[in-house]
Amino acid sequence: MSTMKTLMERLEAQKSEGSPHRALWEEAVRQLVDNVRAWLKVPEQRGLLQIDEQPLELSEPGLGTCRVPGLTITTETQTIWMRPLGVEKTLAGEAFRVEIWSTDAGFTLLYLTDGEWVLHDDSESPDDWPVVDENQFEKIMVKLVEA
Amino acid sequence: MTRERSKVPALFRPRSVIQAYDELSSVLRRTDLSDHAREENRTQAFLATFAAMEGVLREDMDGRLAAPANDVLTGRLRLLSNRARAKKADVSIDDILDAWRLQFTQFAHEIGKLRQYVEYRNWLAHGRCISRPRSGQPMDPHRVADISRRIASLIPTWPGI
Repeated sequence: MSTMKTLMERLEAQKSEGSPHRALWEEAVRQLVDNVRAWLKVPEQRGLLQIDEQPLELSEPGLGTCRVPGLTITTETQTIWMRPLGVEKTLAGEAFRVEIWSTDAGFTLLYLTDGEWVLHDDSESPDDWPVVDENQFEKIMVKLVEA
Repeated sequence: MTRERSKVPALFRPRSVIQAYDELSSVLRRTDLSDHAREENRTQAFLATFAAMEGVLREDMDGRLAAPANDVLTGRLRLLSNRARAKKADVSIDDILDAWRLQFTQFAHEIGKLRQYVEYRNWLAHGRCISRPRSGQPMDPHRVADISRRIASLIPTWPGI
C-alpha cells in the first residue's frame, strides 16, 4: 500500500524552499505594521484616528501562503487602507510591495533585501527612494489626510 | 468613466462570452485541425475570454463607483478612477487587477497570473505588429475562463448593470 512517501518528500522540499523567503516577507510586513502602529499611537490615543488590523493570507508563487497583516486607519473624514500586494520585480531587484491609499492619494512601499522599507517613486533611481521612517511616514499620512 | 452597457444583448454580455468560448474551445480541441489552426484557435479563444473577463471587471467597477460602499476594493478603484480622470484616461486593466489582488489576497496568485498576460493580450489585440512579449504563449483559455468565473462569483449584482 502506498504511503505517499515520495509525494510527501517532494511537498516537504517545496515547503522548506519557500519558507526562508516567506518568513522574511512576513516578518518585514509585521515590522512595518508594528512601526506604523507605534508612530500613530499618540493621535490614536487622542481619538483623532482609529486603527484596525486585519490578518490576511496572501498566496504567492514559490512562497505558498504568506500570513501578513493589513491595516485600516479611519479619521474623521478619510479611510486609509494599507495592504500587502506581494513580491514584485523592481528596478532595485525583487521586493515585497505594500500599498497605502485613500480615495484621492496613494503610495507604494517596497521592502528590499537590504532590510529597509522605502517609498517607491518612478521618477527617481532606487538609490533615491526615501527610507520609510517616522518622518517619512508622517509626510505620507499628511498627504493622505489632506487629499 | 461609466460606459453605456444596458443596450448590449444578453448573448454578447461578458459572462455569456466567457461561457461560449469555453465551450467552443473544448469542441475545437477535439476536432481534426492542423497544428497551426489549433494554436490559432487557442489564441483567439484566449483573446476573447480575456477581453470578456476585462468586461466583467469594468462592469463591476462601474457598479462600485456608483455605490456608496467604502470597502478596500471600492476605495482602491475610486483612487484609480480619480487619478485616471485627472489624466483624462481610462483605468488600466493592470491597475484593476492589482486592486482585486489587494482585496482578495487569497487569490493574489491567480489574479497575478492574469496580470502577467496583459502584455500578451495587448500584443494580440494590436495585430502582433510589435515585438512579441516575453510571456510567450497564451494562457489556456479554460484557465482564463475558470479564473474569470471565480472572480465573477465574488461580484455582487449592481443595480442597473
